[in-house]
Amino acid sequence: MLSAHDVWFGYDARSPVLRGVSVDIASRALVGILGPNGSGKTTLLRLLAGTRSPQRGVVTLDGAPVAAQSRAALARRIAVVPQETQLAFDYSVAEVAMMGRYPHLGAFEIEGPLDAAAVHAALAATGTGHLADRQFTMLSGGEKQRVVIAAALAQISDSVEDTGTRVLLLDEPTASLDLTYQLEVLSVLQRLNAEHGLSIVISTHDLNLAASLCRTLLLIRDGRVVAAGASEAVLTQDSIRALYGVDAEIVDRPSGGRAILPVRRTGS
Amino acid sequence: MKSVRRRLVGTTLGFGALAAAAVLLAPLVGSTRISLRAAFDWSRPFADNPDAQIFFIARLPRTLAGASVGALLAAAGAVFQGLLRNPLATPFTLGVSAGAALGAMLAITFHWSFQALGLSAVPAAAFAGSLLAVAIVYALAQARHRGLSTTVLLLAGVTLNAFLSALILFVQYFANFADTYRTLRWLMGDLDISSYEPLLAALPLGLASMAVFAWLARPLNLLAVGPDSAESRGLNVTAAQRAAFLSASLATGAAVSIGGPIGFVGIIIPHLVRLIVGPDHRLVLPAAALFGAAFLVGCDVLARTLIAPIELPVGVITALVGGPFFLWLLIRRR
Repeated sequence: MLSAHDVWFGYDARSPVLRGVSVDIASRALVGILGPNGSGKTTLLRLLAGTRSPQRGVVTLDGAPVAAQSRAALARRIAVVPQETQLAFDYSVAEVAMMGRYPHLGAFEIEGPLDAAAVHAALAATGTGHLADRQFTMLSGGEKQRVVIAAALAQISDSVEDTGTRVLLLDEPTASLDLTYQLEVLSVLQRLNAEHGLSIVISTHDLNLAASLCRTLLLIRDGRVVAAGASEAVLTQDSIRALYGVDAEIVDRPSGGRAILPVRRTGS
Repeated sequence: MKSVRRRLVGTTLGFGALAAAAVLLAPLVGSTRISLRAAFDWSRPFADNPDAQIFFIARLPRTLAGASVGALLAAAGAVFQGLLRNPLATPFTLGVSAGAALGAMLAITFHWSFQALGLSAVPAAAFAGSLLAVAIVYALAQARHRGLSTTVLLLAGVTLNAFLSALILFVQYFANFADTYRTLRWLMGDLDISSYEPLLAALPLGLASMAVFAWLARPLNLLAVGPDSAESRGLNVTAAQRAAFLSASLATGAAVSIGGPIGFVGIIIPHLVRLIVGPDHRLVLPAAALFGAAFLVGCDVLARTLIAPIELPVGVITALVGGPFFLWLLIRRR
């Protein structure tokens, strides 16, 4: 379980971005963090990943405070996928995926067969094995995102002793993708959650994406939790009004799940 | 795909052989023919052995200087390009060379004649100037954030470059014709040294920088993907950026204090090397150092022989080779 307890954080002291957020991410959970732009989603992901420390409150992984663990130990359990990845140089897909193995290697250590096997398996799991020798920059947006997810998977996969929670944190992973590529990435995430036992946390401002993918939702606005819990319980007209200030129709789809149609700004 | 270990061995052996060949052959080439057998004939006293004198005093230090400066500038260029995530960065982008140039100008124009660390006034002042520029840029980039902002680094470096260039012109105004000629020659970049002292003085710093570069290879790969993702993979990004900036700046300062601001080595060599071995810094850095050494020694042979007995500053040759190459790179990129 990855947990944040009443965390406060501000990039400068006077204006906190997060004002007392708590969230529990169980093992094998699929959690969506929903909120408008600037609500603190990305910052919350940084605190959960341990790359920033809360000024108040604590983040724990399987009960141990994240701040007390080494960067490498943490990185072997928690990986982050950004919205977009722009390389400064032309690395191949295999090289990009191999960078996930960084926290498994010593300062001057060169990757060995175990690392190659982890990368191979990660590329296969994201359906990008056939791209291994291609240039990353030449791929489509969806392929790029799947390769970056493969690198994250290689980062947190450890065949040896580890049975603790392993978490994939994704920051708006589909925001800059076409519809086809969005679905492509989402199906990969569902598979990783179901078959590889990863906890997946995805930040998004896309209500329908969150409704169709996530079992649990955390709605935040201005750094505070508006609502949290099971998706069906949380996605109500009231909570959407509180979150975005819009009136919405909520439609139960025959195939299961819900669709949210924003109708008008509240009060107009 | 071949393993990185095997590619590293192949790369080091290949470019190492090139560098070794350049260093061994260059002292034999020049306006005066010399005999190696005579140069290494220890039975003759050194004072009566012109072959040995030319080999050991005129050509060998110069060759070694070319190799050291070429290796330092090329590797530092690769590190700066990785740090700034910009393939068009050079070792001189962040103001190090302009600081060194101002130091050298002052020493030449006002006829300073001190000795420091086994260096005569001009290289010592050049090195001090480069340190000053590094300190200013570092302090500026550091102040805004808790980490090191590469954007501020770039802006501060470019601004400092412009400001120091203005100061250089100001100092030049006070120089007489002979001194102006010397400063101009220094600014072109020249390996005309005839003793081992400057090399020995730069050696510890050069080796220390290279050791840091070796550690930086993997962090630079991660930074190329993005600082945020590097951080989430367990890299202390700020520490890596500081190490990269300081080591590459000091390597550049050491190189410039020996040879002046020899242009283009720091950009064309890393690019050529990437075309051959790919973008992995674990291969790029050693390959750039070795190829840079070979390239600058080769350019210096051209500089000494092209219109012999007149010796051109080597910076003229590297610029003549590098300018068109740089333009070709720009066009190729888009």
